[in-house]
Order: sequence, then C-alpha cells, then structure tokens
Amino acid sequence: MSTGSTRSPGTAGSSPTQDLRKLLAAWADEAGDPLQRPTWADLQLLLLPLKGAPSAFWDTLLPSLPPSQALLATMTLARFDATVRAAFLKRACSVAPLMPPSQAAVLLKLFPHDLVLAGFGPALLAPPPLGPLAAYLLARLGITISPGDLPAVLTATPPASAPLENLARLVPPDQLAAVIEDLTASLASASGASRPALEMFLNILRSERRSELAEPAWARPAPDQEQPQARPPASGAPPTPRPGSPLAQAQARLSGMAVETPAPAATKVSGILPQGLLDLASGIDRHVLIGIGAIVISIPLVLLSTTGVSPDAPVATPMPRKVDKAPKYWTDAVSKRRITHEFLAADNDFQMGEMFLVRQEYGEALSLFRDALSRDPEHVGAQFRIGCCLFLSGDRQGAAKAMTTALEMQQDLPEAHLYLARIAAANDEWEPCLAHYQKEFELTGEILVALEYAGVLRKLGRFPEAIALLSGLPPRFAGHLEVVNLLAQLRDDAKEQSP
Amino acid sequence: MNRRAVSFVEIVIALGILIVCMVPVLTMFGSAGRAVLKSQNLGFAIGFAHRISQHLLAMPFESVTEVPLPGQPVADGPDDEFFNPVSNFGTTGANALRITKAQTPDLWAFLRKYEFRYALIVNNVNFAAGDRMKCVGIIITWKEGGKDLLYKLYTYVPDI
Repeated sequence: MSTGSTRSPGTAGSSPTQDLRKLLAAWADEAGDPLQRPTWADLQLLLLPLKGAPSAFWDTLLPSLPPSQALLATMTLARFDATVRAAFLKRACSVAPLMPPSQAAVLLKLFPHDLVLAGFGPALLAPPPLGPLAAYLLARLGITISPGDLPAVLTATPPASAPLENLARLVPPDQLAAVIEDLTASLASASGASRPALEMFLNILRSERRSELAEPAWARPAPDQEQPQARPPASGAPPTPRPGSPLAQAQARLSGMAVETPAPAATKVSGILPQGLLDLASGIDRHVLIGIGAIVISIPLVLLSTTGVSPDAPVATPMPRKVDKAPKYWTDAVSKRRITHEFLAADNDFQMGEMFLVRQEYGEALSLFRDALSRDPEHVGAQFRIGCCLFLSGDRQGAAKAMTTALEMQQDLPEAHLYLARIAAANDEWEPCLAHYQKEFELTGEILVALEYAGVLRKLGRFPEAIALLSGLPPRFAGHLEVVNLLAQLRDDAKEQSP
Repeated sequence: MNRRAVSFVEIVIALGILIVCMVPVLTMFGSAGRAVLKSQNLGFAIGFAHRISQHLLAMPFESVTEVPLPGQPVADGPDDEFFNPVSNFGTTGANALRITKAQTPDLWAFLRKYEFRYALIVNNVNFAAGDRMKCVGIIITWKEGGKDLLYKLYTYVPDI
C-alpha cells in the first residue's frame, strides 16, 4: 500500500539501510506504545515502503538486527497493515526464540492481545522451541485459547511438565470443568503415544494449586548463528499446512479468528403462562381467545413475508463482532450450487490446471485436473479438461472415455460431443463422428461447429447434406465469409458429382 | 326491532379472513422485492471482486498474499489494499475515506447489514519456462435471507 508520500528522511552520505538501523535502534530505546513513540514518524517513512519488499530482503535484514528490535519492528508492521499481517507475524515467531523468553514477553505486552494471539496462537502447533515458547508467552500475557483447539495443541506439545503447566494456563478458567470432562472422555480412546501427555495434562488441570509460570529454557545463539541467514530456520516458524486441512483449521482458530465459546444451554422454558395472565383470560370467551391467538400468529407471518422487500430497509441487524467462523457451505450466488470447502479446494486446482493447459503443459495440467476431481468427484469441468489434456497429448482412447464420463455427469455439456466427433474422425469412424457433430451443433448452434461438421460431410462426399446444413444457418451468418466460400465449393462439388 | 351489534368474535374472524387474503398479495410484492435485493447484492459482490482483481494486478507480486476464509469484513475492516481507504478525492492522506460509520455511514450500514466479506486464495504457479504466476481466487461472501452466499472470481497475477 502506498503511503502517498515521496519524502525520504535519509541524510546525505548514508544508505537507507543504515538510516533504518539507526532509527530502529533509537525507536527501540524509547518507551510507550510503539506507534506513539517520537521516532516512529520518521521510521515509518523508511519502514512502510519496505513492507512489500521480497521475502529475501527481510530474511536478510531481520537476523542482522538485535532480536528485540526485529520483534518490535515485525509486530508493529503486522499491527499497522492487515495485508502483510500474516507474513510479519510469522517473522515475529521466527525472531522470538532468539531472545530470552521474559524479554520477548515484555515486548509483546506493548501489543494488543488479539494481535499476539494471531501470531503466537498458530505457533502453539509448532515443535519446540517455538511451540512451548508460544505457550509461555501467551500464558504470561494472560491470553486464553478456545478449548476446542486443545487436543491439536496437546499433540504438538512435548509431554513434559513445564510446557504442559504453561498450556494449562491457556484454558479459560470458566470452562475448566468442561475441558476436564471432554479430555477425560477422550482419554479412553487416546492412543499409546498421546496418552501420557493427556494424563499429565489432566492431572495439572485437576490440581487446584498452580505452580509458577515455567520459563522455557533459552540458550544464547552462537555468534555464527546470529549472522544474516538466507532463510529463517524451519523450526522457527509455525507449520504451514495445506489450506483446509484440520491443522490449517486449527491454526486459523488459534489465530483468534474463531475463538467462540459454546453458548450456554438454553434454559428450559416451562411453557406455563403466569397465573395473573391466566386469571385475566378466564373471563374471556374461548373463541375470542382463539381469534386473538390467530391474529397474533398471523401478524408476524405477514411481516416475515414482506421483510427484505425494500432495498432501503433500515439496518436492524448489526454485524456481530465474533463471526469469524466460516460456515460449512455457501450457496453460489450465480449457479445456486452448494459451495463447500472441498469444492473451493478442487476449483483452486482446476483453475491452476487451466493455466498449465493454456501454456500447453499438458502433464502438469492433467495432474491438477485429476487432483480437482479427486477432491470433488462432481466437478464436471475437471472431468472435461482431463479429456482435453488426453486428446491433446495423443491418448484418444483415454480422451473418449473421459469425455463420455463428462457427458454422463452433464448431458448438455458443450464441446464434449465436439471432442468425441474429432476422436471418431481420427479413428475413421464416420457415422459416430457425424452423430456427435450433429449433437454438438444442436446443443450450441455454433458456426465453427457447423463449418467443421460441413467439412467432414464434404470429405465424405455428402454434399447435399452439407449444403442443407450451411443453408439452414441463422440469417446472421448468411454473409459469413467462410460459410459463403464453403457453400460455393460444395455447390461446385455437387455439380461435378451429378451426371 | 331487535338489532344485534357486530360481536367481537365476528370482527376477529373478519380480520383473520382479511389477513389470509392479504398474504398472497404481500408475498407477490415480497418475492419481487427479494429478486431486486438478490440482484443488488450480487451486483455489489461482482463489483468488489473486480475491484480486488484490478488492485491485485497493480500490487507488487510478493505482496499478493492469502486472506483466509471466512475473510476480512469490508465494513470496518483494517487498512488494506482494496477497501480501506475506499477513496480519496484530496491530495493528502487526511482526505482518505474509509468504510466506517463516521465517514461513509450509508455504505457502512449496507455492508454491515449483509456482512460482506472478502477472502483471497493464493497459489503460486511455476512454469517450466521459469516464469511464475499467482492464481488468486477472490471470494466475496455475504448473508442474505438466512443464507450464506458466495461469489468467486479467479484472476492470474504474473510476475512482471
């Protein structure tokens, strides 16, 4: 994002990187909210244009800074700009293990809890040292996570008492009893590897007295490790699972996007009217009461049927703040089909396949279309494109099979009959070929199909049929150059053929 | 002559019949109104998707990043490349308008009412020739009549 500024605070004779380092050092020494510190005004002029710089730039710059400055800068950029938030939160997670945990906790106190959770919540799923460190930092800041994410986090946490103690502090106190109950139930079905950790965690949760926060062990990195590195260590960032996978969903929830506590069970309504109301109604005729009841029921029905009539209807339902949970499915506003997360993943593969198909990289394209179809077996487009790829790479038999399957999935699928006609023509099977051309032409009415169809009829010497086909085209194609030429040639051919 | 007045029961029955007769008429208006509403919301969604698409093509390649589902709200959303600020008719950042209750109340109210959100699904594609692209799925979601609706548009961002 452009700040709209062209001013640069750089002084003559110094490089922008040197200026950046000096300002960062000065800024880190100041106190208070990072965005309110005096140096921030100058620093942001240098820092913000760089936020979209290639990853390699940051991967070189950040390790060369003192870790406290790097953490402050990455968290501030993440807070300042939502579009780069995810990338900079990951970088913050890479930097945090390079400093003493208590120092990192002090720095993170300067930032809103939701931002810290967005960065270090997903890191709970990372292997040591990042996972236990994230648990310590969140516990130190008093941040809690959704109980539904505990099983995933427990799986990633080493079965030692200190990390589990810290993890126990992330359980919301008001849901402690429910968590213990859930985990006890899942203990019965736990496998051998995860059982000891689960038992230990349950014991910690049940114990009424909590020990002090256990600071994770930290060792100062060796001097050679402090040098700039091309890439941050793999363990220094939260794992990046495939979108839509359970791990990715857990990460998304842990980042604070779906931290929703289950609603308390609704209190049971007795259904008994207050005695006072019954006393009032006792003097009224039963039929009158039924009539009033009918009207009372009808009025909301009439109102309901007319709500949403006017696009200018007043705003009655403000958007709830905690709706950050994706629904199970959506309805496509255009095709009305149900869109699930699986369909979106399949469509994603399909769209990538289209790019490879256009570039004539049929092998890659075929692989992506097959992936799409395996995710969503009803994806007709993917099935059709598989046929296209096979045809273009010379596998006519496979292509014919794929196209037939696509037609079984959608009978009026355009172009499938066209490919089947071409395959039949290549196999010298002329009757099926003409039948497919005929069906395709009936389906689409495309002039290019008509020309190809007429060309095959001419090749077979069936001139009257070809002439009838082209003559029967809609009037808008009457002056089409190719149609006129082919018609003239067909009439000449027909004359030569006739005695 | 002994004339009877209209009893309360008769009034109630008459009102009931009137309501029953009015329901189909009002439903007719209701369905026409809903069709207008659907068309309006879909129009907004298409507009949003194309706005994002245009901005994606003008952004640095590396800064095209994923916005996971359920996505960012368009109203009251954070500063981003696409909707906040939504316009700036001035020459400085002070004139930038954001989709907030204070700055664009009508648009804000509309977008909040239907909970318009956007998400980006980004995939990096490396070709055999060595060049690369990003295949970006732009997902616009909103709520309408108790349903979660979605409009999707794919765009391809080359690394130029």
